[in-house]
Amino acid sequence: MTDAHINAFGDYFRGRRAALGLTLRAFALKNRFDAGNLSRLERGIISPPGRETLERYAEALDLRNGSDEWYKLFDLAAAQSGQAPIGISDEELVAKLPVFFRTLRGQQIAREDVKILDELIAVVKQQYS
Amino acid sequence: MFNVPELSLGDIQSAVETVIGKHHPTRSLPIPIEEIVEFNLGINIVSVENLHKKFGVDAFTSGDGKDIFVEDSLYSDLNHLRRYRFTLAHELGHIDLHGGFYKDKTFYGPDDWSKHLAEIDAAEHQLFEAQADRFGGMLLVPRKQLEVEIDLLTSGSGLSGDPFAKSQQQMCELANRFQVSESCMYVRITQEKLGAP
Repeated sequence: MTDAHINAFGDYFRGRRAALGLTLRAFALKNRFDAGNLSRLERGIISPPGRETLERYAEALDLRNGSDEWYKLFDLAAAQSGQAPIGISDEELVAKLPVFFRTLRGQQIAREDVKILDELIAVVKQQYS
Repeated sequence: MFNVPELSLGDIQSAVETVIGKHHPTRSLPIPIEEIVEFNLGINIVSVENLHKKFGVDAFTSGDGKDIFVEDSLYSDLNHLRRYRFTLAHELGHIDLHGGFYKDKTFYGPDDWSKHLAEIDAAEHQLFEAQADRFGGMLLVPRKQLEVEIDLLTSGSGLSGDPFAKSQQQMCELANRFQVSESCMYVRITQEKLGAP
């Protein structure tokens, strides 16, 4: 996920959603979309979807079929669909690793357990790939 | 050994007031924590499946403070909305109160990261968590609004201004107005000395 990466589609999608005053969670719940998928889409981690899904997104974003905004969404999707998925470098991954963990009773996770920490690293990595 | 910042309730209150003043000056209720985090602060809220099952955690924030990962069942299930709201407020507490400690910290790989984690002992970790909890409670239940709502609830009721003297239903109503749990409301009323348990 380098700075040079261009995520015009995700940025535009997020901007249109925000213009509706809907958080990602509210938007996903309202339209019965998978929030995790949408999050990856907006962050540019996965490529834009095919036409059918894109049409559902356009409708949910309140973009009138044939309007400039509607075409822009589809144009940006087409432009970005050929891009290789964004990865995350080891350095970037380490910067993402958490320091605090909110547990039910405020305890720490079992930090001495190497397996748990490895799993945690894998989970974090998964969110960016 | 890790130096946990010494933060009084007043220090945390001051930090909370800065956030509210900047990002929600109308102070309308409930405090729109999700909108503040996502729209105003530009932090990604990412749902992750099985955080509970795998790690026993509700949420955590990425080291760079740009993403908050939340257990999917909290994120997606409206029945857990209040706990979700508190979780976000708590994580924002870490970012606001403790972010500075990690701003210039560089981990040289996962081993260095896990070594650093091991340096924070259980008592220190609890202090960090308690500070974030206080921040979260104060953010979702600001003192000024709490006083106003208690006055509204008690005016004309013939009851004293002490919410602990009131029925469970009234405590529940207060919690509803702030969209927090009753236990969070209880803690805030106690912290602000607005009632005598």
